[in-house]
Amino acid sequence: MSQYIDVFFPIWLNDIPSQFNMNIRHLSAINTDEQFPPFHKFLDNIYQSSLFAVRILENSLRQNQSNDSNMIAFPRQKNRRFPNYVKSPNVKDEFIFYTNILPINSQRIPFNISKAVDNDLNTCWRSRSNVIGGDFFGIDFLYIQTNLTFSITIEHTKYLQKKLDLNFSLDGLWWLTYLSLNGITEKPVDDSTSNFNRYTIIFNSTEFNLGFHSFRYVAFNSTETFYSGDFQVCDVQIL
Amino acid sequence: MGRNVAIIFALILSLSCLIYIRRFSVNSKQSLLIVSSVCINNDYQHNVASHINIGFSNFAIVEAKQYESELEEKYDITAILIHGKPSENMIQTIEYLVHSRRFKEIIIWNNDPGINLTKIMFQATNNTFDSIRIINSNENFKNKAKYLACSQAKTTTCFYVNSNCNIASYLKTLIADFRSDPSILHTVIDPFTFYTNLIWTYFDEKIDLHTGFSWIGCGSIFLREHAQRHLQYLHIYLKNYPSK
Repeated sequence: MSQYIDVFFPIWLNDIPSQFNMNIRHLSAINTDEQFPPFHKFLDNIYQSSLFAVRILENSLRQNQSNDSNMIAFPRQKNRRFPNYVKSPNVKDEFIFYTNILPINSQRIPFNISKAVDNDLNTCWRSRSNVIGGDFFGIDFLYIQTNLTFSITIEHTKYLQKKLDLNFSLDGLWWLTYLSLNGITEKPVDDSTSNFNRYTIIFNSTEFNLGFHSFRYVAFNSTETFYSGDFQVCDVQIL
Repeated sequence: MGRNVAIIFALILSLSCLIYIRRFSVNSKQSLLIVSSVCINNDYQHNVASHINIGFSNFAIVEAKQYESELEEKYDITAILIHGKPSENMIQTIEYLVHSRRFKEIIIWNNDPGINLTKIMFQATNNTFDSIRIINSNENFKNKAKYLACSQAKTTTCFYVNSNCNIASYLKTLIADFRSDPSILHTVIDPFTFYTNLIWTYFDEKIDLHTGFSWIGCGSIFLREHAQRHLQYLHIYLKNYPSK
């Protein structure tokens, strides 16, 4: 049972873990058993042990054992500040790119969000094939910064981009919409091999309206549903 | 006449401008009223919005920065490494953790009772590793060791990594992400494993079941109280199972 202690830990916290979604580099080619078991046993081990852990958790919650002073209760309340987002840091460890859209679509093809921030213009993150009103992608710059300039290179249509609200936040929970065009410029991607739909938007906060020079988070929220449009982000850079 | 023109102009302006109030609530204790005005008439939109699009006040920015500093102070971090077999990767990881200056302390838990680890084994020529604490265990606790080590941390928070993962490319962002949401587990996972982890999420609203799974081996941050509680759970629910 000792080998499954690490399986029980996240499950018994009773709150979905926040997970960075990225291509992990290893110091050597050796993978220890402690990190990831051999692949052929991987799914079966995890499935069986996770079921075991969940059965204990479920039984305890169902019997409301918090009333029993001899038992240590499993937590019931969700204490998280943010919903379960899909996120990835950029390769330079400078910011986090994230979205509310889970990597499940009708084709059951998982998308790779790290492609938006892998410093490669030729790889892009694509969301599910239809964007619903309220869906967003955003950037967490790790702490409140002032006079930041950053760019995003996108491949979804300009029509879709214009239908996105540009929102800024200091804490990720309270947002203000930026309604001006000051400090925002577009330029086509100068690359003969690139898709002609691809272009870069530069956000220079030194030229933003007063009150928008400092922020930690930026988010692009869809204001309506697009049945045949998806987000496509190829690159994000701090300039 | 001039007065009539002014009145008509004011009426036209008020008809073509939309004034709305946005109310943002973090929770019932934190609500703030912001007023922003946008004209429906697109000819006015850019010019008017650029003048009256209200942003964050200086007070809000100062307060938010103060809150960030408080979080940094409250959630100081101890790095946990489990020493089983000696390796170059372990030395490399320890050096990186020390030089990153992001940890109050680094605990090296020696799971091999046949070896007595000392700090001098990890000291490079020009470096002093004052922040390292070595715990030589009298028993091989295997995977339980990391929770035992974390429960003895002097900080509220623990960072765990096995020595094979290269954390240099995501350590800063992982720590910042943790401090923005400190009550949950934060991990790092590759895209395929993330997708399979989603399959092992379980919900039942009637009994407050809302749990999920992730591997913690390649860099994870969690609260010391969660590690201590996990040890209690193991004692209660696994006491009838062999430890090996």
